[in-house]
Amino acid sequence: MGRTFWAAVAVIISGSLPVVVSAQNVRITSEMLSQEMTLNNEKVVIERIQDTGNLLQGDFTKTSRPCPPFCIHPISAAPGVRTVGELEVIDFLKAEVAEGKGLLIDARLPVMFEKGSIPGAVNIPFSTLNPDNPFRDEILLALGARPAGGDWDYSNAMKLSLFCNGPWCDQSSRAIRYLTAAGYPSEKLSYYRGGMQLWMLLGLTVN
Amino acid sequence: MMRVLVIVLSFLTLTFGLLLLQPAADTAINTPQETAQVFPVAAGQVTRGQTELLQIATAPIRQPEPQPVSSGRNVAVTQPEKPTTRAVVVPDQQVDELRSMTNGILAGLGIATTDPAQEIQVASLTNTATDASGQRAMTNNVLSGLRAATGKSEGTETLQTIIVQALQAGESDAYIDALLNAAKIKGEIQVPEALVTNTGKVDTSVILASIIQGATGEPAKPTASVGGPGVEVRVVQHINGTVQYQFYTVQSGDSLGAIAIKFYGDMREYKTIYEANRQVIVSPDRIRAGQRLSIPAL
Repeated sequence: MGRTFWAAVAVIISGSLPVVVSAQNVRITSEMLSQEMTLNNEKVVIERIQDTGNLLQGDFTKTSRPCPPFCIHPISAAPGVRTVGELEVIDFLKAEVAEGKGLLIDARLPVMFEKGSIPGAVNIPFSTLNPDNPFRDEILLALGARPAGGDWDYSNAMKLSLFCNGPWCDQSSRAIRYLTAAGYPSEKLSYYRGGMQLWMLLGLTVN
Repeated sequence: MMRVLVIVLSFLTLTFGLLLLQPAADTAINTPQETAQVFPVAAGQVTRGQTELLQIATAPIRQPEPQPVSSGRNVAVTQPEKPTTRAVVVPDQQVDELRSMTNGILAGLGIATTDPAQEIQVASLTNTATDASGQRAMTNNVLSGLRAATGKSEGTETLQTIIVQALQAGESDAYIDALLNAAKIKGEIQVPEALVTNTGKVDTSVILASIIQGATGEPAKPTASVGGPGVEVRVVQHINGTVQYQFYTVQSGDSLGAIAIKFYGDMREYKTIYEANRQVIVSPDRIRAGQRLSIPAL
């Protein structure tokens, strides 16, 4: 009686072991478990939440925000501006931001930025890029644009990748429109349409 | 009996283990066909569920109604004033938000912060008004964030930092004037358009005057009678009484901000003059000496 009982227990335990091991393996892609980089003198690791039972909580679980203003956005934010996904954002952080050639821009208002953003992102609220902001030129200057005869020379300006709350969020598209209207070259801009919604849905690192 | 129990147990264990080892198993349950059967959707019709409003706040940019410039019908006005098409009035509260946001960004960019008292003065100095202080703050936040991210401090000085440093060092007005103009020529700073005179210089006197205005907290009051060169007042008989129209001929060295202070006692009213004279003013930093501007009554 005792022997067979313990045999049964052993079978149960051995059957569940591989499950525990595979739970440690939520990779970004099959070749990439995580990405490490140094951003702004800080070591940043981007990985995914390893708990396969994890679910989103709170605002980002909502399905139906009133539209307007929270309308579904087309895949393209502006002509010539590339739309990118999570892997391209991670590549951008590693290839451009870490090298000081680009910036990942969180175009949301500070109150949302404070609640958590993509590691390495800089907060430039869309409203500060509005031509109505009399100080907007200072921001363009800080992005590497140089005044050139009443216009702007963007040849040394940073590459920018912009995002906001997700495909239902207007703020990064607006920021992109303001930038292109100011002459920012569209090939220096990209649009991460998934935004915080998809970044968090995939369990990617948020700080 | 025991053997049967063992067989049953191991069968259960194997089944259980197999289920756990196949993560795809539970996702395979909802095949497209099945989903379609469960949720029949009318052809070509896609709807979104109606649930409660989201609490995420956005700040809708309000574009106020155009402010029609007062113009009389039976008046001998040489330049008919048209209602403005794009009067930008940023609500004070929103401006305050912009101000603090800008400061935050500037801080993130590593811009040296100054003591709060001076901060307030300079805020009212660069934009000379609570109107723009929010935008100032928000821009400062952006800039500091950018500076922290780019690690650059060179060539990213702002009008604000230069003036704060000069004031802390107790420099004279003339010195600050020279400093600002040198920085503007080198492209190191961006000067708000209304603070650029028609000779292309930074109107430091207006900046400093606004500091005083900001420090004393005196509200803007329209100057009742403005005299001096270039000022022209016409009183016209109306059905409902007399209406006074003011005109001003731009003098050499004027900035739109200086003219706004002259007539309204407040630099931020440069927008009022700009909007009323869009036919003749290309941009607030491009007024020419000799231009005749209409000065609307507030």
